[in-house]
Amino acid sequence: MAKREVEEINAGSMADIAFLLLIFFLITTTMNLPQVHEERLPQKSDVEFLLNERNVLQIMANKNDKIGIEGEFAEITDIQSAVKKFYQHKDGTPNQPSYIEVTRKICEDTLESLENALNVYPDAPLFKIEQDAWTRRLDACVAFGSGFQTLPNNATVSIQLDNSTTYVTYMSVLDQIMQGLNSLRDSLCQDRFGVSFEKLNDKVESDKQKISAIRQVYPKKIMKEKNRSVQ
Amino acid sequence: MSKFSKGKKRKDPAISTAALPDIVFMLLFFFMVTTVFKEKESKKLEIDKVAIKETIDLEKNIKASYFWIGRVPGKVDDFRVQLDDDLINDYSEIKDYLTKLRKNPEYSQVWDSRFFNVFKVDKKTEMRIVRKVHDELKEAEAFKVVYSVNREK
Repeated sequence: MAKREVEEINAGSMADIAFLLLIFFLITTTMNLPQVHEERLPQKSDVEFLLNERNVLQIMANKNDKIGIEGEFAEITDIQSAVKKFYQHKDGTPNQPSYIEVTRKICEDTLESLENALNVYPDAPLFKIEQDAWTRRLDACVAFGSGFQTLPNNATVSIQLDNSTTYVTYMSVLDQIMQGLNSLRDSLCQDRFGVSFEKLNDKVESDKQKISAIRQVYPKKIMKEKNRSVQ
Repeated sequence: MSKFSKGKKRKDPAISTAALPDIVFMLLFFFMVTTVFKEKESKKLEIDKVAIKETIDLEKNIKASYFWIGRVPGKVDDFRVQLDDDLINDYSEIKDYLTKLRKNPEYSQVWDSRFFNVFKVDKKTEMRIVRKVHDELKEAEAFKVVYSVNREK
């Protein structure tokens, strides 16, 4: 009788198992990107902006890190509701900005007249800014499939800080503003598109349009007090 | 002839090591993917970072200059600014540094789109310091600022 040898274990499927594990970890692992708050510094200019008092939501922080909203002492958590009220209120509420109406027709008409104006004054920077703004609004109208109301261009949240205010207060104020703004954006997004704003992915083209449309209705407008005077 | 030969030892076959490279590669890939490079930390200043709720991810593949504002270790109220590698003695150094950086084509091409000034600032820093740095940035026409924060759950 022939001598029986122990059969060699077939290791061919080992690679399969290895790849399976590899792919599992590849998919489940998330990378943590650094978390930031983004801000754009204003252009250095000597031009004083003239703003209408009611178009400004004024938030102040003094040297003891006490918060004031529209000239009255408040808690830091009050900022959120003040911001919400500033962006969304019944048209005609006293001391709140009035809205501008944006529809497809208005956008197209305005763009046309801006086009004509630019033909006459090709280097006017203000016209170009307006042209950009109205082009984005037109895109938003297309994305929504209807018109909307939004704050006028010069409406802004203004932050006034003392030189001795601490950085943590500044960050908390910004955080409160963004929380208020994002909750408005989220409910609008649920309303119009049926998804939450956070779930939209700016890498996807159709989502990107939705994001920019929603940002047209609730734009982030924060101004740090320096070169402005109130009418 | 006996069926039970005791004298002759039976040789075990060698275990195949063909799968070993697979395992090694798997581990290699795993660590390659999961490794997150530790955020740049300042060695010269102590910084207690702020935690806020609404944050966004920092974009990938950016060009950046790093500003640290914090306490000099061992001293109580000595707040200093560190730009990339060195502590700053005078704020005007910031503009000079950035102007020099912008001469580099690698930076100048992306100056208005993908160049960021990343701020890592201690909680207790007074805004006057942050403002002075901002003023210098405006002078150097570097307008994009991001504040690095921790995300509050």
